Amino acid sequence: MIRLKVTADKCTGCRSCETACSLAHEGACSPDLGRIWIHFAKHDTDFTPKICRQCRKPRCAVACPVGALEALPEGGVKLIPENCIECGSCISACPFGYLRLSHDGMPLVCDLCSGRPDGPACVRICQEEAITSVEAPGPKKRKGRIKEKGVVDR
Amino acid sequence: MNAWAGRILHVNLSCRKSWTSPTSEYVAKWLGGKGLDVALLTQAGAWSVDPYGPENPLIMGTGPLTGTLAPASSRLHVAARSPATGLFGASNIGGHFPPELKYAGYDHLVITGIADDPVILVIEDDAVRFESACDLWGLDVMATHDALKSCFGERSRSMIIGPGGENLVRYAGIRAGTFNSASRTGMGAVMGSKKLKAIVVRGSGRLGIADPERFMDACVRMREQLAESAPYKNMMDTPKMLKPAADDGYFSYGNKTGLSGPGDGVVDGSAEVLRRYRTGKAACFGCPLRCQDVIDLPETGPFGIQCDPRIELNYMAELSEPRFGWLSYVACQQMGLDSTSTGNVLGFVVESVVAGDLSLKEIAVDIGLSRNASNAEVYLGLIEAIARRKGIGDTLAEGVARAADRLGPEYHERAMHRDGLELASPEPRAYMGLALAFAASERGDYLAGFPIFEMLGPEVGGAMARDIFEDAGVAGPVTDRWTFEHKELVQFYMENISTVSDILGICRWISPTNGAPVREDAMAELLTYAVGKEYSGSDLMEYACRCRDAVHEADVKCGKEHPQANLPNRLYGSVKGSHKMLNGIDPEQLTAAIERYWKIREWQ
Repeated sequence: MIRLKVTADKCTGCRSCETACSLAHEGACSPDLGRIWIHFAKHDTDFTPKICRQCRKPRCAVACPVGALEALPEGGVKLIPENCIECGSCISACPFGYLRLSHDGMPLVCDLCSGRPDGPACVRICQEEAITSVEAPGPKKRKGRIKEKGVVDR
Repeated sequence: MNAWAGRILHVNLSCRKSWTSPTSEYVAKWLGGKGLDVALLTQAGAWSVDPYGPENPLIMGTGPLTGTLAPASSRLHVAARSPATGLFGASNIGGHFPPELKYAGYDHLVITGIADDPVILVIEDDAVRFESACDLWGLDVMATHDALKSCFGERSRSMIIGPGGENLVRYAGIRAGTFNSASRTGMGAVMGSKKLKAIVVRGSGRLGIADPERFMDACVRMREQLAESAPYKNMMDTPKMLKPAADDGYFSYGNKTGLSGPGDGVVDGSAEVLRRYRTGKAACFGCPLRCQDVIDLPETGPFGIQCDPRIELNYMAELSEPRFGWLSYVACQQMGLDSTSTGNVLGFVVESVVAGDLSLKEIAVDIGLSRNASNAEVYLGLIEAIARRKGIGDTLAEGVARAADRLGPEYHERAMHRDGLELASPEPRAYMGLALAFAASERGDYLAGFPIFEMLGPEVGGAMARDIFEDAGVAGPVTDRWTFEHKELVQFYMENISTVSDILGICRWISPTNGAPVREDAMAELLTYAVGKEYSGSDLMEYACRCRDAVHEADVKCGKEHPQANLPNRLYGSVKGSHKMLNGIDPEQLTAAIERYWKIREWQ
């Protein structure tokens, strides 16, 4: 199982990830259809990559009342468009404010380019390595690491 | 229609109407970008109209690769009849506005007419409307930018003029966001003459790609190739990159009366400014080179500076305080002025002050400063005075050629321009290829015929030249900076490859113009996969030649004359710096080289 890791300091705001994502998923270049996007504040000098955090239990999928979002076993979320009723529950459920709707009202969920032999298109195109794909840590390892750092001790 | 958005948006500001026409009718002959700009201007009869008249169309043209995944696909070509030269005026800009225009559904924007009152043109996909800019008129660029972002949302992108464009400074530019400008040849003044303060665009559409998988693979390959190249690596430290050139005598200062060299502190000073104030790197849309440095000076706040440390303002004005270069660059951008021309104008003032024809104290009082203001304060104040045409700023706003006409005959020899456009800071006496580029390029500018082989030297430059010209007899001389031999071939190739980039809507910095590896065949491969129609490298070079010929025909219609050594007389004499002396350019050899270049172009 992989997950995407963002090192925001390395991002140059070039938005190639947005275009690569839309090309991989839609066969066209359109940042509005990217499952990853760069948020620009007022100035071009101030940008942050917005990316799906791949929650262990994706809140978007849990919130979907009709089962249109399916958490994939290898990571990422898949949209089953024929089930989607465009209610927007998934958008409000995303705790990171990442999820957006496409123009036809369906959520632009990240499936980690499931099925693409070269892996996620955004990772492939980012030569600054601001986005990389890493092995997702298992639950135990993760808990241990957090404890070691002393950030959270439950 | 893959890759292209498919429509040209026409706007008449006099009657506040807009309509569209299909791009397809021009594609076979011109492809897009700069090629289509020239075609549209010629069709509109721009070569016989007043640059500030309602009939002079201001054209903004993207290319078929703009807004796609192609590397550095951020470019837009702005064109109109130039108020500075009276010839074909053009300037190229990147950033995020150009792709947004395409996502809104337009390849080109053709703006004619003159609005009654200041307006903003707002384009949101199919909805095109005009809003009053009365509240914004007179504001500097960033204040306008912030107001537009608040009004139209963070995802909107805009092209803005500052007070310089509003007041028809002949070298006013158009600014987009924090980084990018289309500044040369007075395109901002044309926009100002139309009373158009800003263009705001928000697009949500898509650009079709004929073969997405192969297109993506080709883009990834090209980016990997670029990431291995010297330009990519050098971008992290532009002062270091420029140091060998500075040692060669590449940077003149004091209005081309002196040379900067090692130990004079200007390059080192710029490096120090970068080290102390750079907070990060940023890129235009889709660009792997990330040439922009984000500089956060306490006086200005974060500001993007593109490509080089803007030392030309120091060099031209002979002020060795490095922060002055940066502060004056920001002042130029805020006022919407071309920093290259402004640096040249300041150099003209400095020389006149040194000669005793102008007095800094009188200038200070004239533009409303205290008599005791420091030199740097006066020069910074002068930038705003030019933009607002205050005091002597009104004369200087006309550019050095016209200012010399007004000020008196002794000023003419100080006016460093070609065809009315102020020369940039690179020193033509250091590289004969550069001298030819200044003399033969379409706008009196060196960028289109950049003598990269001479700058890279026999080893690296020679290898590149052998690859391009496939002739060892040519590759030798083109790396020798003291000869004009075969330099017409360099000018021909470099102009063509630059024009291919300008036609396709990608940045020429990924091409050999900048010593980078992406050549015409690779660009053709991308276009083929994007459009779904076979293009070869030589097809693209043909489009480039057609475009260059059309520009030449336009210039002839505008009154451009037969080739001759057309650089300022000063450049035919020698120049001395602290580290070396350069001989003057031989005008006869220059004329012969221009003639050889014209012969290759088959111009009469």
